[in-house]
Amino acid sequence: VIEVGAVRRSVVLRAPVEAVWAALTDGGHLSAWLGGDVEVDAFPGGQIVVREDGRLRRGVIVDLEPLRHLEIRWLPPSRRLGFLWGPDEESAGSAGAVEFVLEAVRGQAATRLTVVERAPSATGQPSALAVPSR
Amino acid sequence: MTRDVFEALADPTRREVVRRLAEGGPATATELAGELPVTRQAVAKHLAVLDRAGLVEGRRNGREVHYTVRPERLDEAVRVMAGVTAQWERRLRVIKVRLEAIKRAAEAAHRESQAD
Repeated sequence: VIEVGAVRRSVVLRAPVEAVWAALTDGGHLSAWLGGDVEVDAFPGGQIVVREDGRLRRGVIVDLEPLRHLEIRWLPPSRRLGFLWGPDEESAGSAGAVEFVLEAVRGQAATRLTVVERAPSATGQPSALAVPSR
Repeated sequence: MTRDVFEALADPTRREVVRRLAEGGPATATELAGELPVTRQAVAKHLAVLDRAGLVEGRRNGREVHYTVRPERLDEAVRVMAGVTAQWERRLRVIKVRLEAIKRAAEAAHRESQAD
């Protein structure tokens, strides 16, 4: 199956899944490698906010399975605030999504990290966007 | 807009229509229906979506409309995908360097504590 509008990349990291999971769910770690200044509430329904070059990108954690899976749905940009897939992006239900999958390899010593980023259209209507109350 | 392009290409029949027009040259909805396992009406609807996304354009010739692909829109979509791919490759290189540095530091600290 070809996913049009989706980018999939995989890397094997010489670190246990716990360390990779921390790098994905801790704001300080994320700021260091994702780019920008990242704040994240790492629980299902939690928010992620990325500030970079005066732009603001906001997302919701739509799926979180500790040490295994994390999925973020980007919210449509507010007026004059940030964009993900191009300056001509229209506001709609979603501005794309990014998914991380972790798998232990070589007997726990390493982790395969796969990232899938989906364009707004390939994401469809985000039914999971009903954010649970805290 | 790139968004429309991805949305239009998310459908396998529309991808097939684009591929057929790109490889076989201009065709009418009737001709496409003859070559693909869909009705003429379905082809006409798909062509309308592709037209709105700017991926094809129709030229009226008497009673017939001949459709051609607009490669510049496909190129644009490919460029966007390439940009996103390059960005993730850069980020994954950074996370690799970072995690491996953290691991080395932890191992060094462990060795020092053993040596004490």
